[in-house]
Amino acid sequence: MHNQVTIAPLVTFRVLFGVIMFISMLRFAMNGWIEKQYIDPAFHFKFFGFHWVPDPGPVMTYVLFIAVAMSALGIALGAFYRLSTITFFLAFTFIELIDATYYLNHYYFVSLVALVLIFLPANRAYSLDLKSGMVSSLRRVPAAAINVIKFQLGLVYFLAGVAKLNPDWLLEAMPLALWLPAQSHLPLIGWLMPYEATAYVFSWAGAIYDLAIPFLLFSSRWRPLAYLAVVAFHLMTWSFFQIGMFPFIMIGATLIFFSGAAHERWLPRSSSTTFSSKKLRIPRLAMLGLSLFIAFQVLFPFRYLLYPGETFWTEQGYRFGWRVMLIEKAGYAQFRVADSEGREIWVDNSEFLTPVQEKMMSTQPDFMLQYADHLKQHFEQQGIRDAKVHADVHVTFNGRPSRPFIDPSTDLAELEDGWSHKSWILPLQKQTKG
Amino acid sequence: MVRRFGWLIVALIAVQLESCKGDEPQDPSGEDFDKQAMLEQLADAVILPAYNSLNAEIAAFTSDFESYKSDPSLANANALRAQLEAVSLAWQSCAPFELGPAADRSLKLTVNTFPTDTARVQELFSQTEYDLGNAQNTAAKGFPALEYVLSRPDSTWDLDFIEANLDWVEAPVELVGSDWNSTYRDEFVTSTGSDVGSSLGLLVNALNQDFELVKNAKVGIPLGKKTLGVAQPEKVEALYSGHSISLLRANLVTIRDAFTGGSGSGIDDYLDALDARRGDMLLSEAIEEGFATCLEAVDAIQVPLNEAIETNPSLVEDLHAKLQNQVVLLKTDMPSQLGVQITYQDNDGD
Repeated sequence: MHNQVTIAPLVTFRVLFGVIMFISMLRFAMNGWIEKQYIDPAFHFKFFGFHWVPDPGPVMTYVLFIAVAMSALGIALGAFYRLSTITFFLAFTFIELIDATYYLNHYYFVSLVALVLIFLPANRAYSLDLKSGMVSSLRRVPAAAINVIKFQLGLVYFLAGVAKLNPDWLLEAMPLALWLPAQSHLPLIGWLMPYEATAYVFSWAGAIYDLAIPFLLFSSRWRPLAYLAVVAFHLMTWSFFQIGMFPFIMIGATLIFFSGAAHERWLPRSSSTTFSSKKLRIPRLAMLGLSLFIAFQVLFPFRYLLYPGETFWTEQGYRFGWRVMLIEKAGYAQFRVADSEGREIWVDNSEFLTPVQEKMMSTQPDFMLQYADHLKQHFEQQGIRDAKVHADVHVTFNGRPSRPFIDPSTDLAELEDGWSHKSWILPLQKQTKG
Repeated sequence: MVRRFGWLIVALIAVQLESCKGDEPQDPSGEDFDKQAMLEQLADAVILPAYNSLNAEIAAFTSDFESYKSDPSLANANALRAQLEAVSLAWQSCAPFELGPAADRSLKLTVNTFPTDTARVQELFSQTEYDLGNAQNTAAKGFPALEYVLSRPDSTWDLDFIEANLDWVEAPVELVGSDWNSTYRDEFVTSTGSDVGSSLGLLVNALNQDFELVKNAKVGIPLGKKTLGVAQPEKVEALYSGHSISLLRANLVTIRDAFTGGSGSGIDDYLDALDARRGDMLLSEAIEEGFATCLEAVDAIQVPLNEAIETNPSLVEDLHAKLQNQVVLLKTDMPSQLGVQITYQDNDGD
């Protein structure tokens, strides 16, 4: 933990992270998603505990995105590093908190990495800060500074693998059995896609990959092969699925597992010849923070165990747990707003939500509560007193026939979201075999 | 390290399998399916003929209009009214295909926004220069506006307004038809993926949007579903000509045919090739049964929809409920089994 290692892997990581984040922001803007996702919608869904996050409005939204892009460049160049990492972390995280329907595990990963980077001395070599004399150069850093990132990366893979150890994934090859046949148009391997066996091979290979890759990347013997697998795996999923920048983030980030010597070889010869001989020590407080961070990362994803019922169905404790690509889910939610006499208005979701928001809301119970609240407010402004909000929601997941998802007699507007179990979610009835 | 964690992995598998065992069996089939042939069938047997026929009906309407102008007899007036019905029916066979060239031109809003703002139409009668594309005229144009005008005694007809509307609908419909006949057909049949911009993705989205429009705008709103149960029969499509039911039926039949591919390969066959099931039956059968149930509920209504809402609302309620059930299958089970993407946004990667 306290032994000193070369700073080189941290430098590679810093530069690649900054560059990939900068490209991500450009891509996001060029796809028109800033308008579509943040400016156009009249209503935004929030994460529990973050309802206070305001809708920043068009100008501030652009400011936030520009701040993220600029600070990403700052991170890459090692310019105003502390300011850049803090700005990046706050602005990026704030954007994610504006609307929870866009939640992706890899955005959460980016926020976590950015948070960690604030505290790492990644600008002490190959940086503009060093050139301008803002910091002194450092050749060696405490191993923890690099291991914390390896831990975070390893955890993402390992827990994604653990999450795959479920009957749908292993025994039914779901949801890949639904997704792969749709890829039969791909060149070279497209012809394999309609076969059931392909989905099984991919499912099992995916699970084994996720579980094994952190350990293989740690082992110097297996590392070259493991990294080849990382590149192949992520490029393949990138060509199959609409998953954006995530594969490139992982391909770049996992380079940090390579030895310090390897990184020193790749990096250009450093111009600064005088390295500070001072040893960087980890302050007590930082050690405490690091321990808490690790404990949280290990425990929080498993909170789902505290909820009754099928996690994939209720999605209670589902987010922030590295559960990726595990479910194919589609829902249809017909909301009904009733006045005090029980007369009803049937809600057309397209009048209130964008297609993405509607899709996400239709399968996720906490969003249904927020939407119900929003509808109640809207229609009470229109003069309907004591509005009650009910919904008929049907959901299909992993190939099961669609079935009622929540109790249609529940007044959703009356309920408060919280950590406790949502008893108004109807159980996924299981038909036991034999 | 790898060895040390081996036992942990085995234990985790055991725990998780134990905690959620007992799901119903799935049997996805490995049969290959020619997606391009399906898209060709949809394009050549369903969509192209629909636009060609709409163009032909509009051309016939134009020539009937010329006849009426040269000889404004009652017979010619009635012929024009009959021809407008044929046009409106032909439109129902195009309405669900708001994708590609039709989506680029927002064809549905352009030619068939209802109910008609009759006050605005009356205002336009007194004007000589106006732009139907103006936002004020959103609901004062297209087939519904023509329907309103022609339903009145022909002595009140504003021939310039009819002419302007004819020009208004003719151009975009012709362009969409010619796009389909030239370049877009090939683009459509060769885009065999399933992402959001693929033909199947676009088609599934367009069909769902149109089906929801049938449920909400054509049936729900007149029935009072947006007005605390207070019926608004005056909001039905084709209020003045009384053809609401035949148009509604034609619209549903088109969506069904887009699903079955008419007599050839369609989405239903693709679902079968994927062995998509809903309980004990094939999903395709469940969806076809749903269409049949909806059409039966339409056929049970023997008078124009606005009349039925006033005299026999339970029949219309029944239709609305059947449409609601069918939306569930079309919006959840079908896209899920097809593996099509509904939205552009990135998904979680692995």
